[in-house]
Amino acid sequence: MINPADLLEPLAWSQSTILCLLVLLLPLFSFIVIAILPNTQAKASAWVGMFMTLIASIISVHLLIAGWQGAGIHSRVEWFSFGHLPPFTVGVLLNDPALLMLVVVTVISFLVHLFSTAYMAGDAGYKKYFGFLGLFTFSMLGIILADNVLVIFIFWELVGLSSYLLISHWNHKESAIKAAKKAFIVNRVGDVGFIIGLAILWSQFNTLDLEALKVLMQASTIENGQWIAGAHSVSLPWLTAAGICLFLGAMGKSAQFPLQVWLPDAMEGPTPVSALIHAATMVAAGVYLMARVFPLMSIDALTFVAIIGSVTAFMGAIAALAQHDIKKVLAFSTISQLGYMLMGMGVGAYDAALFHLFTHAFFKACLFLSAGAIIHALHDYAHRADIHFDAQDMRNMGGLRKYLPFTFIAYLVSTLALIGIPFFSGYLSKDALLSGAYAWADLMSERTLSWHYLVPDLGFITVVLTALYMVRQLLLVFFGDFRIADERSIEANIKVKDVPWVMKTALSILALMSFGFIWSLNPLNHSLSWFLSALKTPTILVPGMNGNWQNNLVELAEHNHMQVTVISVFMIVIGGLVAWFIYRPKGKYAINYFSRQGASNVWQWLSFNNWYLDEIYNDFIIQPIEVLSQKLQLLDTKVIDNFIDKFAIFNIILGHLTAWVDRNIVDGLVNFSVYFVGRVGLMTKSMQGGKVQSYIALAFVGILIFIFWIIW
Amino acid sequence: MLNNYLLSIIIFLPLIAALVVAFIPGKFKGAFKYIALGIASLQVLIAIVLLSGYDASYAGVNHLNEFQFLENVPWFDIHLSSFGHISADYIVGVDGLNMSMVLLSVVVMLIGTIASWNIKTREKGYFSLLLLLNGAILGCFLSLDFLLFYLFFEFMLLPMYFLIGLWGGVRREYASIKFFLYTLFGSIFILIAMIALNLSVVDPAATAVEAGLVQEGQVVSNEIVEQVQQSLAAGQLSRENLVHTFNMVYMTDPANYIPGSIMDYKVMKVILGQEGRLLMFLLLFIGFAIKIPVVPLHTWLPDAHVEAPTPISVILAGVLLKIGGYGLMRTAFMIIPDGVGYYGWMMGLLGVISIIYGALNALGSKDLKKMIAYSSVSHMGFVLLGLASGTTEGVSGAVYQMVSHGVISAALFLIVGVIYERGHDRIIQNYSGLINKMPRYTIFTVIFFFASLGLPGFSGFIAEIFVLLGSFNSSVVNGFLPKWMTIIAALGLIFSAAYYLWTIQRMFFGKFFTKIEVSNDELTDLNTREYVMLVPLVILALLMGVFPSFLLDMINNSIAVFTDVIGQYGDIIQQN
Repeated sequence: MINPADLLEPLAWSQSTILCLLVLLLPLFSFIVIAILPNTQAKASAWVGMFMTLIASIISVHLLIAGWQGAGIHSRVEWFSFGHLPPFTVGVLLNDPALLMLVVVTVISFLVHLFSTAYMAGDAGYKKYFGFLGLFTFSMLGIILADNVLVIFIFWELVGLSSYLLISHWNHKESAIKAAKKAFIVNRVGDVGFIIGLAILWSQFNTLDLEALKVLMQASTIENGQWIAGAHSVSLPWLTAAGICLFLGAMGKSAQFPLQVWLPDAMEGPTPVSALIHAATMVAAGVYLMARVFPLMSIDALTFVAIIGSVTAFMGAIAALAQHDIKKVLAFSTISQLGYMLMGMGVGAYDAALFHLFTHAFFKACLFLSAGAIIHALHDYAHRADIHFDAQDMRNMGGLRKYLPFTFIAYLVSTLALIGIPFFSGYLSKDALLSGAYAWADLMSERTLSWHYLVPDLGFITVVLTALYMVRQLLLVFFGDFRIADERSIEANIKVKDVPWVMKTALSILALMSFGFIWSLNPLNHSLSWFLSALKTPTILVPGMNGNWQNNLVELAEHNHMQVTVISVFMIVIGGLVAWFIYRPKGKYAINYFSRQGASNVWQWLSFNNWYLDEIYNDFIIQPIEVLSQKLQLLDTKVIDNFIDKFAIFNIILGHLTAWVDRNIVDGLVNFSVYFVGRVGLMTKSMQGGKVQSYIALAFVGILIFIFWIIW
Repeated sequence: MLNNYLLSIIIFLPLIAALVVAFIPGKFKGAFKYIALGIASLQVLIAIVLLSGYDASYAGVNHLNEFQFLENVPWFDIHLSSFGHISADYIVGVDGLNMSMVLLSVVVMLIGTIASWNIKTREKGYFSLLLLLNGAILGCFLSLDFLLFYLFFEFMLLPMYFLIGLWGGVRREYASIKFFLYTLFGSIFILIAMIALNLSVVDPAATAVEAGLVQEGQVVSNEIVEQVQQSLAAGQLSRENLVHTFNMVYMTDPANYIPGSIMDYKVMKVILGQEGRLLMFLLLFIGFAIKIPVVPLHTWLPDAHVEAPTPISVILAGVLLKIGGYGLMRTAFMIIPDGVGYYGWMMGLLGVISIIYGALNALGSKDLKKMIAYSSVSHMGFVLLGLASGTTEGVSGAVYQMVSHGVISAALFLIVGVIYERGHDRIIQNYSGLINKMPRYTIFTVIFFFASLGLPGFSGFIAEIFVLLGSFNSSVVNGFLPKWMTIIAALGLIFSAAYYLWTIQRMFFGKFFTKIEVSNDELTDLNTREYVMLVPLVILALLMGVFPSFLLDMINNSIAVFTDVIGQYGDIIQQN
């Protein structure tokens, strides 16, 4: 039997640990410095933030180069302890995925800082904005580095806070505040699951340290339907429940069905925030969490993950089809892509899921920042041309490639990556994911017709839909004529102006990362990617696991690879062609789309309203709870409290009666009634007169008599 | 020399000061608040001295010689011929159970005194009552003699009654009487249990003297004590020589119980269809549950809070509620540990109900202060749930929650006081966009709202997460609580996020307007005095959230003993 305390010895700090902590603390330092800065020094806040994140990204890149494919780092200290339980530790656990995440988060954070200096220029909350960006980056890095599931949860909540603060950045806008609140509360729903997951692991192993958990998990056994770890045993379903509960947390943060409703609303925040938090990093935290706890997930829990992931991928893609808002399309696309990643985790394609996380982080950040550049340019245009229109509504755009050529190219490149065209990064990762999903279905169903095939099938359908909505967006935004321009502005020769160079710098770096050759020497074959060949899928350590399961999966996936590539490229072509046919400039449908009010059929309504999930939750959860809380207020004041009041009045009446009896009837049980009158009289009189002191004395006499009564 | 009487000094200093204030002529009314402030600051200093001299390696709890700064003086001893002696002692001392409570009390009392700065009516009465309350609270936390404890416990009601009744809001008289009678009602139950305990427990040392085993004035050795306990169990001691005691530490030792008495461990006497010990546990539980408060015995709290002046709300939420939790630990749990296994399930359920019911009621409240009062009910539910779990994490979490809630709720009531002082209105819907007028105030409010909803980094998170882990673990460790209770309790976290964020949305963000008659320059931002109160509380909440070991190291050994004592009855319950 393993003693958990032995697995929790403090581990020495190395130089790399110090560097990791430096990366972690620099953004926090930025937050603190900006908080202290006087309001007049708003400009300086951007420099502080940029400087700190730049240093952090340089250190991260150094750590990546020095530590890639190395043994990893694990340093740990004791944090606190309870009674005589094993100590609670906290530390840094750095392996290859963590190293990559470190670079992705710090680099994108730096680019977003850079981009924001132009995007947020002149904003009243400029200083606050950069401060919260620092807080966010710190919390996100904490999730990446933490070696303990509870510590991950701590930073998990802190990113939730920073997300709340940044979504409600424009806190005079009712919609922004509501969106922020919604994001936090929906995430809390997932977090309750997370906490239960923690509780299951804690009660079984008495520690939440990841490395210790792995050892203890492997040492645990299954006997007679009981999951036994040392002296602790629970019934077997709790093993799967632990995995599913942790995944519930991921469902909240990574916007998975049925908790995906907060993410589209979160677009109320500034667009660079959407790029950093709600596309590239925070929402991917759920995928990262799954990667961290992957060895602790049972096959049934993973199956649940795969189903939710594929369903979300499909639902998100459908919802992206009929949006008018440029950011909403990208938000639903993010939901869909996160679904892909979690589907990947669920089907055991750990490396593919992480691969997609990283490629997606760059091309989606690029898409969001490009959208930000477009919105920025259109705001500027609206200001100069003195016309008011919604700068995020794609129906007001069109033909922008002529005015924003640089942004167009960045957008095009990252779109191609997103829909998965060969030679672009998304192709590699998506191909790996779909091969994995297909292999999983083969393995699970043993090649009979089974529901398991629905998982890769939904994945393939999503490929069509992704091509469809992204090509639609390209056509609506960049092709055709600029639709909002009125005659007056054309006469005055007011045109959309190109964006400043800082924005272009950020865009170009992100767009570059969307090319396939960055990620693989052979941009057509994902299995030759330096990335995938380096990332080792950890062995699942839950008891009762068939050791060959994971090996078979890998073999099958390689076997399927060519098939999957052909099918998905075919799907992309179909999706693209359909989009072109419907939304081509001057096409009949497109012209009708610009002029009509609302949706024309039930499918468009369903898509536009994101499957009516908001309405369903409002009617079946939020409203009932509101009504319940009001009813409980009534219950509290009108029933429970009323009962207490009635009881008091009853005592007053009783007091009068007893007083009468006492005065007029000589009672044998003197002691008893003196006591009783003392008590009740106190209640009565103080209710009326409020003179309490004298009655305390009376009560005390009563008490003394009571004591005597008890003694004899 | 002074060191030996520190606890008495910290208790009686404010009581003497209260007398002094009462005798100072009213024309020096400006001086009263400075006296109160001086005393409260002095108490903080004494508490720091206590802390520096406190050795956390001693557990205390059920060993009198392990208590620190112990003062043990005989108080009275009445000889009642054939019944034996009834004796009470003046015993005060600290261990891991009450050390944190003492620290919390002195801090909150200091903040409460500063919050009283703007009291402009009947200052003399106010400050002498405040000092009286102060002394009674500390006496309550420090007493190790049940009678002394009970005396202080009852004595607290008096100043509290007047402070609410005279300086409170519109319905102050109703609220104060309700508070008074409700708590008094609860203390009757405690009184009965106390008397039953006194009838059943002997002081082995004093009994040894009475029985002539040692000379008076001599030190009673452990062997003699054991000898007395053995003869007690064998029924060899004559009743006349038994010294009945109120000493709470002696009450924790099964060997000190008179065979065949009401509270005897072995022969369970059945009273009212319930075994004697279990009935007494229930009585103690009800008595303290009113104080915590536990739903459905909580309705005095919203009224008392809404009507009480700000500093009294601060003290009420910050310290007084904790006496419920502490009393439960010191008396019911430690003296009748066998009752915990028996009633653990019920207590856990009531804890869960309090969490959810309190949170939902907070969600339905329109008055900001009422909302925070209900959130107190919800958060104190975690204390009960953690205690009922009987696990190390759960009980530690419960104690942590008491301290954490003391700090955070004190700050929240100050926050309410700030807006009430300026706008003379607390209805949430009557304000909007306060961030535009009072940005700093909004920052503090948001910080404390997030601290209260259990954001990591603040003390409440550590407390709540370990109460949840502990209560979940209970089913494996001792079988007191089923797993589903934790799952339901965790849902409370969603509701608390809901009511706080909803309030932020309604009151603080958005466009500025008010629906009340208030001139623009009245809604000023925080002043220096308010910073002085709020900043230390932020720092405390943060420190306790990031460095839990400060508090945990102080209580760990005591909690370990505490859970061991309870745990040994866990298996028995499971077997039955």
